[in-house]
This record gives sequence, structure tokens and C-alpha cells, in this order.
Amino acid sequence: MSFDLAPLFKSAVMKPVAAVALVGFALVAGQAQAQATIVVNFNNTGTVGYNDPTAVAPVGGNSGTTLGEQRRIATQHAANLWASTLTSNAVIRIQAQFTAQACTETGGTLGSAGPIGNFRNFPEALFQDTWYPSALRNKLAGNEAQPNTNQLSINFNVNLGTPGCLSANPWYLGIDNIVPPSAINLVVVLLHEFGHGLGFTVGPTSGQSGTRSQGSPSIWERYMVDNQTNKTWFEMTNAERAVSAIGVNRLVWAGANVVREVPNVLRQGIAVANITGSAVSTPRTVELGEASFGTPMNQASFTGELAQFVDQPDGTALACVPLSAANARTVRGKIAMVDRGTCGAIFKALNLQNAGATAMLFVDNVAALLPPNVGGFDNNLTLRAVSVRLVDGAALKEDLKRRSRNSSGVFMSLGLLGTQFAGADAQGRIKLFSPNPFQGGSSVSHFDTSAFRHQLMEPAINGGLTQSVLPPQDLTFMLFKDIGW
Amino acid sequence: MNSSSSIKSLKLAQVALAAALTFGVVATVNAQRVFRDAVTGEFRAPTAAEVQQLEALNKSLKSRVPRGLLTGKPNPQPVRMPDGSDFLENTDADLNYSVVIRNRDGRLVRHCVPNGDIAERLVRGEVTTFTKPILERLNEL
Repeated sequence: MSFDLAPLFKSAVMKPVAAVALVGFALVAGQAQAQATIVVNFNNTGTVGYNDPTAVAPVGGNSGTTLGEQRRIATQHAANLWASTLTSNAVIRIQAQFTAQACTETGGTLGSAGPIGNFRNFPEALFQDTWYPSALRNKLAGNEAQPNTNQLSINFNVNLGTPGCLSANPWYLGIDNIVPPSAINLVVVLLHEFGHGLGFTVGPTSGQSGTRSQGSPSIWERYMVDNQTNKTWFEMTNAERAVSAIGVNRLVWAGANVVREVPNVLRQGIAVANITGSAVSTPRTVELGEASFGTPMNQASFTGELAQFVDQPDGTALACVPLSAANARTVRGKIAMVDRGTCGAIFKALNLQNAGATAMLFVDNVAALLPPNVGGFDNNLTLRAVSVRLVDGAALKEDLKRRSRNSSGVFMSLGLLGTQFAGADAQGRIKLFSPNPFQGGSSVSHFDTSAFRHQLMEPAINGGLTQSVLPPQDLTFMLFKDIGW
Repeated sequence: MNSSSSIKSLKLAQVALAAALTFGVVATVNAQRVFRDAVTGEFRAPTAAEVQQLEALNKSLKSRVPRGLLTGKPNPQPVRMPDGSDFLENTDADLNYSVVIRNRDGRLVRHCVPNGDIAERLVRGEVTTFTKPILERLNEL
């Protein structure tokens, strides 16, 4: 281990172009009065990024008159939201810059963020030999370990919305959360990235291999539980952690604050379909995946006849183009079964709705333990959209072979079952994202995509998110409380 | 490229992808790679220009040494602080990256990934063991 402090502090001296001190002071759920000071050090030089002098019109509550000023105001707004939620006697310092990032006309890196570093074995730590992110270390200690030093680093794509870099999709710099369909909401991306920087991450423990940095666990490991073995990550071997990270449905967060608030945030009841009818060999109940568009599932069940159509030579139904007149007659007023592939589920849903279907049953095309949850958002979609696993779709197709001339003989009642919360396990613990195969760092350091309502810290940032990190909208701050915030 | 050569290339690419997935490496076998087409969103064999671009990207990524977010030093090591605690400086490889992809339908889909390497390969549409499930999800779900 190195004990060379001089280079560390020499390089740590900040050179902010501009710094804004933000103080939050508010009464928020789950705590008395929140107060933290967040200083954002805008790290661009010259006339780029936060200093861009290009004149712009005010937008969505953002009164800035230059591009740089609007970027600063939006960043400050997101920092204010966190400052009004967190409590810390130590100043939280964030290094922020807009720089060039990988980008093409069809995709780009929006930004990146994370803690500057991690500390262990400081006197105020709740657990010794445990890594804590820098800002949390300072909150627990009540001072700055490295005075006037940034604890978070965030970078955003300066070229977004310019030729060669998603030119039709600029940043939305308004702070009102009313975002044009083609724009990208900077404030929500900032909230998500600040979340990672403040400590929403498994930290220096590798999610993929389960190995620890310098032999010490991260603070997250004490609250990450495999619900099959009932072991925390803290108690596991490297190999056990690696298995848990791809457990799909096994990895949950067991911190008391999150568990207490799950009933106030997540919807109660798991989406299921009861399958009956003259053509059904075995009446049964299957679990459904849900969509983030269309009429949401609720306690009232919806019953309809399943309809099968074909629009591909191999006998599948993709619905990537408008349905033929004959297929439209088949699905009109019914639950239309469609196969995953070639185009997005939201596109299929639009074609089925336009053909008169009342619901879409989306059949996965890969074997998986759970039915997929379907993303996207379109105000024009009102049909119900649910999904089933490949194996369940295959069983339904077998049933449909026995259909009569006038009826498919397969009826489905879509509804909610039981008291389990959407996105949580049977013990009421929210699931962490643990797909198989492992998805780089998306895995583990996010809430699972099955959470409903959707959460800020899911790997895919969903439309319709609020700007809250608190119950009843969101569980992010409750997780922060569990780790010591 | 005519349709038969497209199909042939696609089949070769699929073989390459299957081999790459089997052996858990980046989807590169005998210079065959799989790409996500920027217009159609389909997985296909890359053009010569795309191969050149990817070679340059690979060279750049391989030569990229993780640097400390605070000090800029390569591969920073833990430091003992005056109060006896240890400080482990993160590098740019420890950051989370938010990526947006326009999928086949023109819809923008965002995904948060763990490091710049995966983010860059996603943006370029390169299919690897890490990016394939994400790209499929972005295009189909």
C-alpha cells in the first residue's frame, strides 16, 4: 500500500470555472428536516459546455439566456433536489463538465458519473473494513476527508443534438419535467447519475466475479440478499456472489428502510392470466410481464378471447407492419398473440390497437425464467399489453390447434394475484437487477426492471418518472438511509 | 451488396457470433464481426469501413489505461489517510455510463452500463457478449 499523500493533494486542488453553493432545507418523508450543501464545480474552460455563450430562449422554467447558463441551471436544479433530501454537515462537492463522448446519428453516450473514490476504516464508519463512497464517508464523519475536494464526478455529452450526434435529439434543459418526445431530459439523467455518485452502486466489489477490492466488502454487501440461500453478499464467497448476480429473481435489497416503504411505493399484486376455455388442455394460471404503456394492470380483471394470426412465412406473428384486413378481422375485439422480434413491442402494440385488438399478449422468443417487462411510452396506446415466457406461449399455441371455426376456445382473464409487490420478492424486498447473462455493470447496481411503479435507479430510465427520490414515488433515498445517509 | 451476399455475410456473422458467445470473447472470429445496422437495427456483418473504425476503437480502448478521477494517475493504489483510514481512488473505468440508442422503430431507449468500453461498443452497434442482450432488449422490448 502506498502512503504517498503529496501527489494526491497536489492534484486534488480544484480549478472551478464557476461554483454554486446549494443548500437544501425541507421536510421530507422518512426524516425530520433534511439539509445538505451541494457545491457543483463547473469544470469547463473557455466557451464550451457550461460556459457556452450561444444565445437561447428560456425553456420549461429554465430562465437561462445562454446554452451554458441553462446547463448550469438544470444541473443546479437536480443538485437542489438531492440537497433538499440528504442530510450532511459536510459539503458535498461535485465536479461537473460537458465534454465530447462517443456518439453517432443512432446512438450516443449521454454521460457518466460515479464517486471519486471509497474510504474504509475511518473512525465514524458503521462497519470497519468496509468501503464507503466518498460523500457518504464525509456525511458519517461530519467533515471532509480531503478538504475542498470533489466527491463525485459527472460528465455529459456536449455534442448531443448536433450533426453526427443524434442531431434530432437534443438535451431538454427545462426543469418542469414536460419533455418534447424527441428530446432527452437532462434533469432526470442528472438525478440518476448523481444517485450513482452518491452511493447507488455496489462499489468496488465486482458484480461479475464477486471479488472484492483490497479484500474488503462494500457497504452495499450487507443489505444484498440472495433469497434462495438467505445469505447476504457479505457472507458469500466470490463464487457465490457471482452466481447471485445472475440469479434473475433471487437478488434483493433487505435494508430496513427500503423494506418498510415498499408497500407505499410498489403496487400490490403480481400480474397473472387465468387460462380457460374449451380448447385449453389444462386450465392454468401463468405469470405475466407488464408493459410501461397502455392501460395498466389493476385489481379489476379483464377477460378476453385469445386470437392467433400469422404474418410471417415461418408461422409467427410479428405485427411490425399494419395487419392485413384478414388478420385485423381475426384480432378485432380480442387479445392478440404476437411474437417478440424484429421490431419493438410498442410498435407491435400500435399495429394491433389500430387493427382493433383490445389487448396484446407478447410472447418471448428466448427461454427465460420470467416473462419480459416491456418498455416504451406512447400516449396514444390504450390497449392492455402483457407478456408471457416462450414456454407459456408455446403451450398456448398448442391449445389453439384445437380451436373451432367460430372461436379460438382459449380465454384469458388478466389481473393481479396475491399480496406480493410488483418488483419485490414474497418477503417484500425489492429486487436488484440481476439478469442472466450478466450485463456489465448494469447488473446489481440498479433496481430491477420489474418494479412497478418504475424507479429512478432502474438501468433503463423510463418515461413518466417524477423528479422525486422519495416515497411514495421512489425508493432511492430509502436505500441511501440503509447504507448510512 | 446483393441479397444473396447479404444473407451469406449474415450467416457468417451468425457463426462468428455463436463462436464468440461460446468462448465468451468479443464477437471476433477470423475477422468476422457482427454489427447492429444503424438504419434497420438488424444484426449483420460490418462493412470494410466499419471494420476499420472498429479496429481503431479496439486499439484506442486497449491502450486506454484507467486513470484516477482525482489525481489522473494511472491505476491508482490505496492511500493511507492521516486518521488511519484508507482511500481508494476510483478511475474512469468505475463510472456508470448512460447510453441512448435509437432503435429500429425510431424510438429512443436509454440504458445505464458500467464502463466506457461497453458504452462505446453499444454506441457503435458492435455485438459482444455484453452488448448483445442489451441491444436485443433495446430493439425488441
